[in-house]
Amino acid sequence: MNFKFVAGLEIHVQLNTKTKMFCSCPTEGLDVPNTRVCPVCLGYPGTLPVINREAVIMAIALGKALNGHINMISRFHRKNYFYPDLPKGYQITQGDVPIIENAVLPLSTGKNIPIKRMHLEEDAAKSVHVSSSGRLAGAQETLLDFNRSGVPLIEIVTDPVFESPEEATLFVEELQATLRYLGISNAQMELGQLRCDVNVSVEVDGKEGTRVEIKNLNSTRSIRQALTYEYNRHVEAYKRGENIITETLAFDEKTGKTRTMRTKQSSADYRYFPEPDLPPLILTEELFEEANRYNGSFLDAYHNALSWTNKEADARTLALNKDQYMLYSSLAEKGFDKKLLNRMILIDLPNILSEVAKTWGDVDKTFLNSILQLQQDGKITPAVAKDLLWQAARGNDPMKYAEEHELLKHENIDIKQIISDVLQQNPDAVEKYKKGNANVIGFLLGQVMKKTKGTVDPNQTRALLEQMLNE
Amino acid sequence: MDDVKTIFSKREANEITFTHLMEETLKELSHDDELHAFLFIRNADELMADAKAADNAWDEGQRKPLLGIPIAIKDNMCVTGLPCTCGSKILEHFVAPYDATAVKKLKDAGAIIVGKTNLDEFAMGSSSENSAFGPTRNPLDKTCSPGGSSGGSAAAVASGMSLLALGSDTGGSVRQPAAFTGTFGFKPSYGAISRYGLVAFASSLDQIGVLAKHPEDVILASSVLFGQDPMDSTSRDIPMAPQPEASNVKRVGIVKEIDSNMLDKDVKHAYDSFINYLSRTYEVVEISIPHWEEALAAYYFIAPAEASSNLSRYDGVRYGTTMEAENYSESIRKTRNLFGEEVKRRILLGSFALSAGYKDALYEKANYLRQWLVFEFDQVFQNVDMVLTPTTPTPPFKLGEIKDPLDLYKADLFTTPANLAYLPAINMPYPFQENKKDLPIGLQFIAPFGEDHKLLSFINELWQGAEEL
Amino acid sequence: MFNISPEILKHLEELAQLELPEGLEEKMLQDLNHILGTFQIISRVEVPPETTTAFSSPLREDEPKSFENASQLLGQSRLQDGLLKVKPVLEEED
Repeated sequence: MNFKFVAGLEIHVQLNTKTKMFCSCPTEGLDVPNTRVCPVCLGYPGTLPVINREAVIMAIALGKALNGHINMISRFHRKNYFYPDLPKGYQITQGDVPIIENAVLPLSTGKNIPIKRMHLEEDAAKSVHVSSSGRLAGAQETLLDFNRSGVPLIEIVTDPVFESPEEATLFVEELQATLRYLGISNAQMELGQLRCDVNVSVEVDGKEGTRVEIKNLNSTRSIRQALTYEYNRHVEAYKRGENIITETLAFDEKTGKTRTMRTKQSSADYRYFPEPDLPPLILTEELFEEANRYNGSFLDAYHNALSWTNKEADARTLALNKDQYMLYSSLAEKGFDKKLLNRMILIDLPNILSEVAKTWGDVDKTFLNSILQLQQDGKITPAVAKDLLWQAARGNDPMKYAEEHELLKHENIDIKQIISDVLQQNPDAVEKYKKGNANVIGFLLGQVMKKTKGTVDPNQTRALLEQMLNE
Repeated sequence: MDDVKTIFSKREANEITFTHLMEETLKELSHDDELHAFLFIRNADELMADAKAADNAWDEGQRKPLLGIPIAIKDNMCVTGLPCTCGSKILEHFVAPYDATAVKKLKDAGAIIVGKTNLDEFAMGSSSENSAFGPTRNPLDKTCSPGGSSGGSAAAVASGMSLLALGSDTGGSVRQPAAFTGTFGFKPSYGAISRYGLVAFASSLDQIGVLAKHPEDVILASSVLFGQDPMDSTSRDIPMAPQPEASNVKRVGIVKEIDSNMLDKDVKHAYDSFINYLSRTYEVVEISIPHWEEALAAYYFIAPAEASSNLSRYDGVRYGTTMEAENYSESIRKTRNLFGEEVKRRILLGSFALSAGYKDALYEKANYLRQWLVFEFDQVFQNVDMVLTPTTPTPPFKLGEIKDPLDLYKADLFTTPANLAYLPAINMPYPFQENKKDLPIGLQFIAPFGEDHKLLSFINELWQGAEEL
Repeated sequence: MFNISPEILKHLEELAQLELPEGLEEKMLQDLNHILGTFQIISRVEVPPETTTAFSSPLREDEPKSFENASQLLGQSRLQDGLLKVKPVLEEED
């Protein structure tokens, strides 16, 4: 039997507008539950929706960035179903004519992924199911926070075009980066700013397989794991001659397995019809011009990164992390040596940041600038540079620190004097060396380095030390 | 009762005060247990304090368009701090947390809201008998219905419990009760008055309308209420002035498709004789709206379809009455079981019209019909300035007289086309009743979209002309 | 010809989250079918002529405005630590 993986994605992205999709409630400061609400987003009787202009502009920007067909006239529709997190008993979304159709996301690998449609809609409230034994399982109560109710979403839908779990994951990662470079969403999956549902099936000898849906995958790792798990499950079942049933699944991050999820309504019939409270959305030239405010590009970033690092993997890592990339980019503009930059931004700083639990956003660019300048001018050794990087990551001015701790290379440092001091203070070690124990040279070198606070080149110093011991 | 203009000139001459006006209003309001026009009447002390404040404002030289004028609001519009029950058990204890835009404009114009008027539950009905809190009686004959769904507002105006009232009109709910109570009931062009704060029944058909005894008061109130509202995306600016001007109406169309033999004999007589009267001054021509008869069918699919969605928000989760149960699913069903029978009927009909497999044949076809009507009225208004019809096929019916819901739907036969075609329309009482004790008959005029001011000016001319006879 | 069968009525009740009391179902079925029968003329309607609607949804500027009494909108009795309490949704999770 020949098996082929097939998957399609349905992605919900929260736009980072200042207000909600259909009312003026702020989208910031959502941490105190049920405070960013008004009669409109709580679905009070008599209230009406009014479209957020910026959300429309952001959708246009995305449509332009992904080369989509932008419909000059689109409509909002009502999708009717009951659920406690849906205050009006319907969601305002776009039906048969979405704002954008037939777009393309070009992956950094060179492959183009077609996107069927992208449309604007409103988010539902956030619900937490609570039980006495903890969250979710056997929930005895549902708790709702309507701060999220009405936050603008753009839904991105692909046909079943993905040929491997890795490809689907790469798509989500690069879509995420695309949204961030454009500046229309922070797209953080762990914060629910980007949420992913997947349709997956396995073709057997070219024959279409049964499709299952996996809901609410909230990290790219989960996407890859869940898809791999499902692929294997389907393949095993087909090999045993068993069937796969059409169903909706949830993915359990702890076990790495999927499980059946009961659906909201036994027979989904959403009774879509045009939202009578909103006349058609007709786009104007002005909106298109304003959409140019959102113009960053992930692919441009990737190509720049590639020219700096010369390695695809490094370039992708760098470009996928917008903050890291922006830092690199601004330092690269100053003309610093790429080798120094690669070492600092791609290797040392990521490690240090994870050690001190800080993010790229916390790093002071001028500090890095100073360190690189000192390095480039030959005033510090790589060891001191790394030491200073730690200080910078902790928020200390590395220049000041270097001066206070006399870490800078001094032209006039009398290294010979320091070595002879060390030799005089450690007669035992010198004795041992003379008796043929070459190992003590490491100890003596350490003493010298300590006195010079590492500001001298260790290889040169070692040579000089040996020379003086042999005199 | 005087019109607002007369009240203001008497106030200017110090012949009356707003306090006197309110005292008289309160006297009338105290008889409301007989009519049950109101579901909620504001506290008398509060009302007197408001009237006193209006007097002070007047004395200080303030001249607002509706200063000190008592007004009643149908209980499906939000007034901050007042109940808004929509005549339904499901909102029995609901208090509105905000003002409808129309209400806010009335307050800003100095009007005094006296209370909230009775209605068919969620404005679904033509008799005001579908209120969960008991029917309203017709002040002209207490055994009769005042019509509906704005029956409470019509009864309040007809009985002098308020000078003006707001109603809502989805398929005739302002015009039909006006016809049944001998008052003026005006449904503006769709979008002329903001719907923000009007509890939705069928959003694409709903319009807030004005009820009054005098056409000039309708014009005045409309000039306060009209205007695009940033809170209602379907609202728009439609010209309206506080006074009437020469209408320049020359040709009036009468609809060929209305078979006058189908009318009740009193209605037929009034309609025929008024056509006769009109033709002395105006050119009366027969016009055709080929889809006229099907309009009611379109209405009875579109309105319930939208209603089935609009009423989904009543789940007992965030506000209103909540019926306790073990789980959400049971709780919501128990809560929604509080809807009355007519509301349930329309929700089910509307759900059917939108459901998979039937939507194309019902909801979509109903919208085709609607587009035909828009097109046909457009054609007609190339030829005539106004269209005249009876407002209702019958005079006021007795309370409890109509049992079959479909028979009641037919009360909307002549009023729904204006809603479907977004057009302004008004009920004018037939002015030539031979016996003043006879129950009123209503005449409806429909105008082209946006020509609301022309329509009201024309009605004012007709009314003054008829009174002079 | 449209006809609502008892099964369809059940489905509609499910869609609308309405539960008709025993006695009402029969009557409702009759009423609805009577209405449908009367209004079935609708199925004869032909495609209407194109009418152009130039009216567009107005767009709102993205300027935050908090509702004054936001925290009072949801009654205190419905809240638990600021979150709105609802009876469990049995259908969704295992």
